[in-house]
Amino acid sequence: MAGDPKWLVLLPACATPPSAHAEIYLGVTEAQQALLPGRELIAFDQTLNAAQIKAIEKHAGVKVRQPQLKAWRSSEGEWFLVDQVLGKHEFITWALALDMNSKVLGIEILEYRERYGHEVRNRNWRSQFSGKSVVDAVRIEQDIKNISGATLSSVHLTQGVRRLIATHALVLADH
Amino acid sequence: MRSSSPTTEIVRCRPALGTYVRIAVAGLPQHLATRTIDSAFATVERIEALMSFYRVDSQLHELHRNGLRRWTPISRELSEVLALSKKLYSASAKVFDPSIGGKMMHAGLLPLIDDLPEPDLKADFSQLSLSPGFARLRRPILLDLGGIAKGYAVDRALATIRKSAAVRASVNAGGDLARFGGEEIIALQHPIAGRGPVAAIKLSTGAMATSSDHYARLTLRTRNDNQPSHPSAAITVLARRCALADGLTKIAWLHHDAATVLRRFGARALRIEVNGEVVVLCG
Repeated sequence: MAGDPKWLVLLPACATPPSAHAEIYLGVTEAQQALLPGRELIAFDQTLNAAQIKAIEKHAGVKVRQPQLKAWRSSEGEWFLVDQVLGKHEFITWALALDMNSKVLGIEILEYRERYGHEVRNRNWRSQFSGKSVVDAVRIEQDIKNISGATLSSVHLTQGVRRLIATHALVLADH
Repeated sequence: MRSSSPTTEIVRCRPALGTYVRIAVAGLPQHLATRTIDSAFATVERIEALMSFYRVDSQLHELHRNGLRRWTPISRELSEVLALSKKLYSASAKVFDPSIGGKMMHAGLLPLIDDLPEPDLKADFSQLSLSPGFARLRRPILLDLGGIAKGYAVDRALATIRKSAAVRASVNAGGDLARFGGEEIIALQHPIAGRGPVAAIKLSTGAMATSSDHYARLTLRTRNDNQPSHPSAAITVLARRCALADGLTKIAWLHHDAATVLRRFGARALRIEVNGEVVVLCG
């Protein structure tokens, strides 16, 4: 394409298309401090049994795909949970803080991961860039953090919140 | 205490606006950065509560309920979004028209909200009147601000961050992005989910929005069921403000001479085809 505008960055002709994109926002401890600052949290990990799963699914109207619960309880009766929901093709790790009445105190995304299909890895993808001047030699997987494209809906996360609120009410709140 | 260089960046991601919102702030010590980010997320939440069609008690629905033939007070934010919508409506010869809420609801594309006046499906956006701090509907229309409110929320969130001493920041709501400070390379994805980036944009201070033909298909469905569906592609618009970029992506999809309209707003745009080809539309 002759006369490409300066604001359009062409990726180096020698580059291989990226296989994944990932960003880590918070570790578990950082997220605990962010959502429940100053609290001492005690781990309460458990595995949901079939009866509990059935009750949660009925109450929340959402399937339980992972019976393992990663949960922490504060002395004030607040709960911190780490969970995963589906993004586009990979899982998003996130954390939810609830007060003793199952009210949401906060949500933070811990990790976002995306894996790309192999369709891009072909001659045609590269050939559109051959012979063009390279503006910057960037390594896409590492240097580019922001991405624009068709919006990823957070509906799975909304369902996850409902599922964890039901889990808290039915399984955790008694502790 | 560790000092922060201008490059020290704090990044957080939370669900909002029906998507994932990523906010990055650089140049502040950690405790100030997280407080600034919290304020920015609070701004996003406030805008969503005002304008969402999905929130039963949004100010948008208050306008629908109370504003029929009656001047109704509205917030500065809603006022700004409606004013920009009017600008885009006239600049696009009525192609950009948020009064599709009624048809969208009837088509099941928006939730059924109680206590709304039965919309006059023949009326259009010209039935909305604006006066500083007030709005009025001459005929019962239902507004869907989904084509512009997300971009507006991004702008307001960034404005919140600008009040701090941050040297660099970006707000990215599912691809609707605004930033200031330094320069960044932002990847543009292939229109088909999961295929990865095919191009990238160099952006310093400004905004961008990307829209696939999904929205255009929805809008066309509600306008005229005989319209052929567009081939799958994605259009990215760059503009000074995200609300403008957001609105212009809809015009880019629906207007027969979109490049002319976009140029009038000083916007740039490109289109990524389903075969990965990148076509510059203007700029």
